[in-house]
Amino acid sequence: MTNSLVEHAEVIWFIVMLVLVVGYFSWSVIEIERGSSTSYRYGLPCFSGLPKDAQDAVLAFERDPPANHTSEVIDGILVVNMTVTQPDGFHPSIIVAHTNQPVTIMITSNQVVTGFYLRLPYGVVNINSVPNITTYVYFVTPQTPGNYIWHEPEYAGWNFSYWNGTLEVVAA
Amino acid sequence: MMKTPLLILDKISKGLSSIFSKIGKGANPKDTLGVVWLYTLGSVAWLMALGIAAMNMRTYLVNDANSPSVGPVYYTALTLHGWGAMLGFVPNAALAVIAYSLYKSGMSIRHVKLMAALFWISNLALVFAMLGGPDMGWYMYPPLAIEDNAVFRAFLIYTGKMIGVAYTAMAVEAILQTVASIVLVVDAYQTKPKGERINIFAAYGVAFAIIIAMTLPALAGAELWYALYFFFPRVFPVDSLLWVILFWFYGHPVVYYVPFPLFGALYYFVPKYANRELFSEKWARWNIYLLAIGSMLIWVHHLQTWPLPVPIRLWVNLSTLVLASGSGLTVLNLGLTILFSKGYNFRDPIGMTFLIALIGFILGGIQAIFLPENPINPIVHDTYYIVGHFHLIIWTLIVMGFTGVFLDMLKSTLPGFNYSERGSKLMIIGALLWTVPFLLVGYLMSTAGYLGLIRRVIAYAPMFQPYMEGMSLLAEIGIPGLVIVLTTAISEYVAYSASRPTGVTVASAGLPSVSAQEAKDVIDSNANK
Ligand code: HEM
Ligand code: HEM
Ligand SMILES: [Cu+2]
Repeated sequence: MTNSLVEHAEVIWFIVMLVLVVGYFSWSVIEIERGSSTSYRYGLPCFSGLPKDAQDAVLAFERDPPANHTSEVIDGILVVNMTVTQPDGFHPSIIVAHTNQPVTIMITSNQVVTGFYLRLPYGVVNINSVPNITTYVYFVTPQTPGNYIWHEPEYAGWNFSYWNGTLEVVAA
Repeated sequence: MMKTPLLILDKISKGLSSIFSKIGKGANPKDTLGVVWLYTLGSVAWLMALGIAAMNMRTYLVNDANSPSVGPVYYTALTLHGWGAMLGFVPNAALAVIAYSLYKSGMSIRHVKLMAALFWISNLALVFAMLGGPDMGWYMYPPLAIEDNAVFRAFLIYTGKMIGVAYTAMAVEAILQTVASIVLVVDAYQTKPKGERINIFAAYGVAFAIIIAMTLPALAGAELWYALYFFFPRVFPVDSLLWVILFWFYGHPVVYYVPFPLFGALYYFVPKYANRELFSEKWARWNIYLLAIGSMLIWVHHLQTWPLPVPIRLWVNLSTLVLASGSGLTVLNLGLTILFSKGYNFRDPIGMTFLIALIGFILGGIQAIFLPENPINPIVHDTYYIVGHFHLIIWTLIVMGFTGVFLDMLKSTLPGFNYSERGSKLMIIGALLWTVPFLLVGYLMSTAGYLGLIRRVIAYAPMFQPYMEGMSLLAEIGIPGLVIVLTTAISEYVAYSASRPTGVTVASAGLPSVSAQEAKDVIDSNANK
């Protein structure tokens, strides 16, 4: 018994690996489909990752930009138009939102590759933003009021450690 | 009374002069082993340089709020560290290990002069680029790496067309290293003993020399693109996304340049120290195809948070897992070899370093298996978890595995030489003194990254300061371990060569008169002792 197991160790290994890979990969696909656990689906760049109502909100924002050009609540979704520039980082660097509110951020970073890293109680939003490509971030604010700091995660020059901003979540 | 110290002094000076004459010969090698030594010494020099840069970074990093004015110094050190690692240490070490694998399989390098010239020109070209004070990290993403203005600057010292010249030099470096790997493949082909299969070490060595030759040109292309941009900005604008994709076509495989030839070394040496056959040579050879082809299909896993279509990201998720299973197969094959042996000889320093390399790769691999998962990757991408990931594997598989090869090289260079019992003990202690603290550093990095410590920052939340202090402290404890291993090995070598009546030149001068196959037999019988 042991001997034949040893004889066929690689075959057994191969099957175990196959099962693991298939299982792990399918889980990955399902998670992306469901958009749960992390920001992957909804934080997806390329627009396509946004849920339908957020896409509509972004289109409405672009068709008819608000007077301040930076933010507007459309159908309950807070749409923020954000740019990242050298040497001072995020504009705007403060976002005020209600608890449990969907937020969509359109990030433009044409001078340098940057990103957006925000830790919320239920997960991490982490995407990269590339010159000449608009990146979209989507998340729902936490249930409890509080301040959450987002960071610039991609190296963008000697002072990028100081590029950050604050998400202020206030009671609805 | 007085005679003994004098005698010792005499021996030491003889030994040292032999080392110096070796180094002198090393600069201008005469044979296969000479080339191996040249590339080895080059990679060790880069290792020292990148280590110094790392410890310089660590002194800043214990402070949670460095002023932005520290930035230029810190990022120059970071770039020197990253370039010293990936453009200096890695290609030289990989070529050294591959060249040594040819030697161990009875093949030899015919183009010795050419290999030496390639070594000197390519490394000096990199040094030239570094003199400009690079400031953009090892991946040189555009547009930061081509920024040339007062606010941010790719090179602190070079400006304007000089930056283009620096990138040209780097492209030359990559091209010459590509040529060097092609030379090794050609020489292997021409000197292959007729009617014999090359051994498993050389099989891995040659296969990955081919992979280097196929992927390093992508780096050369990317660097040339930058150079052309500086000379003809209108004609060659740089597209960020395209450049980055091109870069990672080289940037992923480069991390395997050393590990995979070292897998060959493990397949070759572990059975010797386990005193039995490799569990399955057939699977070890088939695995070459999986690892070689696979390593070129997964590079976009570095860009899972980038604006790329979903199918591409799903593909790299799957393909990375398939490749990881191939690495797992290596681990299983070697693990079973050890498991079903009558006892693995870890009292031999070479046996020990290879065992550490294997265990370290298992530990590092388990930490890495989460990275290609699309839903998990954003949690850790661009954090210290990634820094922990690759250093865990580098510090164990690459550094300890390469040390094992180094120890064996010393034995091959001086036939008959072996490490004394005392020296072996010391080297084993040194190897553990290096490995244990650095494993802890790797896990500290991973934990801090998981909790949100972003990589490459010089200012961070105060909660991470204890982690940073722990990393710096443990690194300071670990580094002497490696120094103990290398200095013990070298001093034993010196003592042995000084005590030999026939003098010290036997090794490199004498070898050509011995056929490579004979030399290999001597070495093999040593390893089996
Ligand atoms: C068990 C197999 C491995 C898997 C599954 C794996 C997976 C990954 C993934 C997915 C990333 C990208 C992470 C990110 O930035 O978000 C990564 C980064 C990296 N890996 Fe591995 N890896 C493995 C083995 C290795 C080996 C053997 C090395 C050799 C030293 C290595 C070196 C690196 C390096 C240097 C980076 C980061 C490059 C950078 O961002 O600066 N990996 N790995
Ligand atoms: C003496 C041991 C070493 C220490 C203490 C060390 C430390 C570090 C630290 C702290 C960082 C990250 C800095 C940051 O994110 O701000 C780093 C980055 C890096 N290290 Fe090491 N390292 C060591 C050895 C090595 C070796 C042997 C290699 C490769 C052969 C290597 C390759 C790299 C690379 C590729 C990076 C990324 C550079 C970048 O982000 O541009 N390191 N190292
Ligand atoms: Cu990779």
